[in-house]
Amino acid sequence: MTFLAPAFLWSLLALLPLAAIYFLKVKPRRRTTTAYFLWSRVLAEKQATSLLQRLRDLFSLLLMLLAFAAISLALAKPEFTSDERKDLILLIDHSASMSALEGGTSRLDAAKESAREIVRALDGNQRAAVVSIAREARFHSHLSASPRELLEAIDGIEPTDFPSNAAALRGFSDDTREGGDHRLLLLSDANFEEAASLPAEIELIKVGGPLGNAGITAADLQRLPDGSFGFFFRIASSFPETVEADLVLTHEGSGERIYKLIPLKIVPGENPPERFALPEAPDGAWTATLDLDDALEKDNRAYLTVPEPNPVRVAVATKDRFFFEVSVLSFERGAGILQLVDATPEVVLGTGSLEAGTTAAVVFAPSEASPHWGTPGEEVEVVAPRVVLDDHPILRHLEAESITFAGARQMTAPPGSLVLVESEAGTPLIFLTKQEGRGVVVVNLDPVASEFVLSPWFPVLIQGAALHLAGRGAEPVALYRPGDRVSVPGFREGQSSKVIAPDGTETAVAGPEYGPIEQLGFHSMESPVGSWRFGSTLATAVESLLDNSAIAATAGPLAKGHAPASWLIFLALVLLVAESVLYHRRKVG
Amino acid sequence: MFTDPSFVRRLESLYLLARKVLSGSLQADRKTTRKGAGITFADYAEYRLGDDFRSIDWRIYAKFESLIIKLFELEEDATIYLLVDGSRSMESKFRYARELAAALGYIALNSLDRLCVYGLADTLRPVVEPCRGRGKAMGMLKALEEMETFGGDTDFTLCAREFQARRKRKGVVIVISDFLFPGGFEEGLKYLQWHRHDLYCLQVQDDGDRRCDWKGDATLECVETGQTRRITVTPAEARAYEAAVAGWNESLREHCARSRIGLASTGPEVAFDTVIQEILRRGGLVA
Repeated sequence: MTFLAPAFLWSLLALLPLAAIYFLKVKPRRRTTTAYFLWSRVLAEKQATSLLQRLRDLFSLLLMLLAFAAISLALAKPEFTSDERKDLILLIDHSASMSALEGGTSRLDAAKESAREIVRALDGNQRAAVVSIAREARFHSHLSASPRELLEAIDGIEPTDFPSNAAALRGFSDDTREGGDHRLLLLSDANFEEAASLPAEIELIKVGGPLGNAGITAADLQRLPDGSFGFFFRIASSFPETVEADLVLTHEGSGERIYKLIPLKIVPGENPPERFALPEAPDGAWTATLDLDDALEKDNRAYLTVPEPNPVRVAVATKDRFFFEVSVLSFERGAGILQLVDATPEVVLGTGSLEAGTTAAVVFAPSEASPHWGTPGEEVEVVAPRVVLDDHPILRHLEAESITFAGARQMTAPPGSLVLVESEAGTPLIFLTKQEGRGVVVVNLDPVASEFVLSPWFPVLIQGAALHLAGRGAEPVALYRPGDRVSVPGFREGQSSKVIAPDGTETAVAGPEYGPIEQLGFHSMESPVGSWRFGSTLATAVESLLDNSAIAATAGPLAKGHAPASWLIFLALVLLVAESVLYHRRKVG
Repeated sequence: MFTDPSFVRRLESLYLLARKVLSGSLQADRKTTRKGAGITFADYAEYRLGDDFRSIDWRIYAKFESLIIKLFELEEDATIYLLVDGSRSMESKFRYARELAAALGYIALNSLDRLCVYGLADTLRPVVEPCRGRGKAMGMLKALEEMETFGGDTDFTLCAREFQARRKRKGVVIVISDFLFPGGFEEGLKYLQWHRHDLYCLQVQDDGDRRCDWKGDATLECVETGQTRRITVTPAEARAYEAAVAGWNESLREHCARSRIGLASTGPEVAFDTVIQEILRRGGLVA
């Protein structure tokens, strides 16, 4: 046992005068009575306790000495642990796995209770900060010595659906390594990547033990070329034995009707992925539910969406049609993003020149004069093309630097055009222009001479340009995870969208993306272009595999619970109250 | 003080009330419960040897051939004895006790009864020698005014014996005291009753007698004997003391009821004339 303030032990000397005061004879007050004989009768019945009365002063002194000794020891702040009493940063994990129930209490509640115990043990000079950790770190209380403030901060931490993000911890450990004079205490179930290799600066206080749980760790639902749906999923289990459960697939528009029930035998660990075909399945929102009573409910359900097909109608207006048609058809089958048409196209693919009309177009190797690209000049040699707008939707999935711009010609983009790629000399190579209300993507290269038609970027460029010109972007995918960002399909500058979360919260979206997704379940997105639904599913194996037995707590000695000084003060109060009740009140009346 | 005109006026008012209530006249001003040769019919009784022939109801004899005598309320020239507790236990209510004695003595003298006042403590001490007539009232008041507490431990039995030894004539004995006699009150009262005195007890106690409103360590001292002891009084002990006093007073009440002794309990919180008025309205000093 050590004392943080040993100087206060000198206050034990105060016991001597206290004892001296007790031994001084105090003359009691004189009370006269007219019925002395009645008093004698009353007091005669109390003779049995006369011995106790004679020892009363001694007991009283003993109690008072103990009380004052307890106060003196409390002032000296005794410690029973070798806690260094540095400032503490309490990192409380509130990721999805912390919602797992263990004996009716969630791991997060257990972590918060453990944090409260640490806060209660703070001495007056020690400070602590409260930080919640999941997708990112968030301070609920900066360094403070006020237990009340810290306890309120701990109470304010709510469970989230985010998977843990080990990267959020690194900033703290780097700071501590660089000389921060504090201790990093991570209160977590250790269900996150890198839990076994935490930096030495982070002391893990492990919350909860191994739990039996199974969850959906991956899922997808896609339309197949034959019109049916392909359903893919994967299950992970931390049950020590094989368990049997059903995976129930329901469609939102069909009420509670079960579309498919898949009996499963779930083995411990990550199970092999499984794939099923769903014939005549409707578009829309689908829910896959793992019917199993386990520790974590959040990972038992996957929310999937399949949007209604709305392909961009594309026509090919060139003599060498083969590669163009193959490119369009490659995005027609399966996903149904593009559709090859002969009449009423939304986008026309062409080479050399641009037919009259107002239909948007993608033109390769422009050769004839046009208001969209002027009059092409001599061929130019492009050694190192330069991407001007890397994040433009047309280039998002394209490696433009790797394209050989053979057959590119000297030209000037009309005023108001958006140059996406240019040569080192400034010649526009891919640019977007809009003249007389007609949008055109000009690709300044010969697709045959450059063998670009053989490149995988050729269909990618056609698909990106067609979607952009038609005012449609990539529609939401079947499954998102909390923390993901969702692109707004067909976003235009100045356009505003709205997302309605599962709990009804509405969020205005001014940019091209919404996110991060915070809740599990189906979201609705509405923009001037259209409306979509997308689902958010935990689908993270490390959050579902709740066996943390391999991870050991690494926290050093740490004072917890009420400080010994508090207990000593409490003991002193009890002794003083006992002395008052038993003796003092009797003595002075 | 007791001879102040204002105080005397209060006594005069009580006397007038007594006259109105008791309706007596001249030397037969005071009714008693005893039967005798008065003029007011009280009861019939069987004739016994020695009875006055004049009392025989000859009409009844003619009718039933049995000798029956008529009894009449005895109207007599009574002697009033006031035994005022002058022990030190009466210190706090001594003035009040003397005011009560003054009121009763004043009424007695104005009713032409004989009056005699004694102080009682460890012994009997005369305060007013036997006297009679209105003219003695101021002397009686003066003597009560000058009366002081005296003596040690009160011995009521001894005082009763002393009183009987000095005054053999039967009369009305009014004991004004707190009746907190260590030796008890039963024997003294029985002794006086045995000698055919009409007895009336006027118990005077204050809060200091009845209650214990202090707690803690104290040196308890008897006001009469000066005897002391160290005690610790807790609420339990205080309650026990109050219960003991209440029990003591209850035993006095039971004894008086059983022995047909009149009793009134009062304290300084009630004005003395209010107490006297109440006694008079209840029919006088009767049990």
